[in-house]
Amino acid sequence: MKGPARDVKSPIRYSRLNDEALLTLAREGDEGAYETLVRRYQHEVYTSAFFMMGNPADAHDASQEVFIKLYFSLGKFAGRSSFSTWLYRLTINTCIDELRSRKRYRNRNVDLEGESYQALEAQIVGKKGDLPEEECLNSEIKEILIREVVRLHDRHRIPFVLRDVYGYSYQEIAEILRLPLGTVKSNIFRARRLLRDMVFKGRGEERNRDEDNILFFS
Amino acid sequence: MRTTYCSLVDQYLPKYLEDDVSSVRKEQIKEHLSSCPDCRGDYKRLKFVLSHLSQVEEYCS
Repeated sequence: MKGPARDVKSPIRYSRLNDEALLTLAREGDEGAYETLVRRYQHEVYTSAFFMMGNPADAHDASQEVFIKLYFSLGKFAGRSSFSTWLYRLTINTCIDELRSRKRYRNRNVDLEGESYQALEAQIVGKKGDLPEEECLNSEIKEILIREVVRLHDRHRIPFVLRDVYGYSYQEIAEILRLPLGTVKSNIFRARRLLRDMVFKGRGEERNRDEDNILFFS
Repeated sequence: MRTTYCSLVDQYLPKYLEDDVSSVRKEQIKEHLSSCPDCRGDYKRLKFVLSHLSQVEEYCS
């Protein structure tokens, strides 16, 4: 009895493939595999970029840049870490490059009370529906933290996010930002106190200090 | 009542949390926290914020 014809390809169910399988296909020029990777990680990349860049417009631009770089770097992924770890690193580096290219960077935080921020916040916390119920109990404090983190100015927010959200070591952050270790530490420590005061006291002093608007990347 | 010394102690709290202060400074801060409810509150709030930050990562990974 004859089995099904083997020369007829069944459509690939991309969503069922793991990252490595998608990468292999994407390297061979399979656009569907690349698109699936983009869809799978677009939320995470955007959120990471938002924390790093501090506003929706720049986060959007940086996310697009990340996926363009991904397209042209498919062959560079060596498999020494997981694909997701590699992609997060690509995101961080892309954001750092963008911030550094501005030199004396003027903080471009948009009006965080505006509609764009509301939409963004909804997007960022949109994943909470996927979390177990008990996790949702803490969602309010997480939302407050996210809202306040992005209000920190660059010099505090960027090293702080790298350390306290992504777990980079102080030394790694100093190398990424090309800043002295002592400066990195003091900025992170300052950010932690500022965040505490913004969350609990609503001082908001962070946004009104002109000297903090200037990013001092080399 | 919050004093200038309270502000100085507050600046050291993140380092104190990471045990990144000298033993002498550590004792000074510890002693102050035991006698100053305002600073003790600041210390607890700092710990609270930092402990919840690790959960923020759930949105990013």
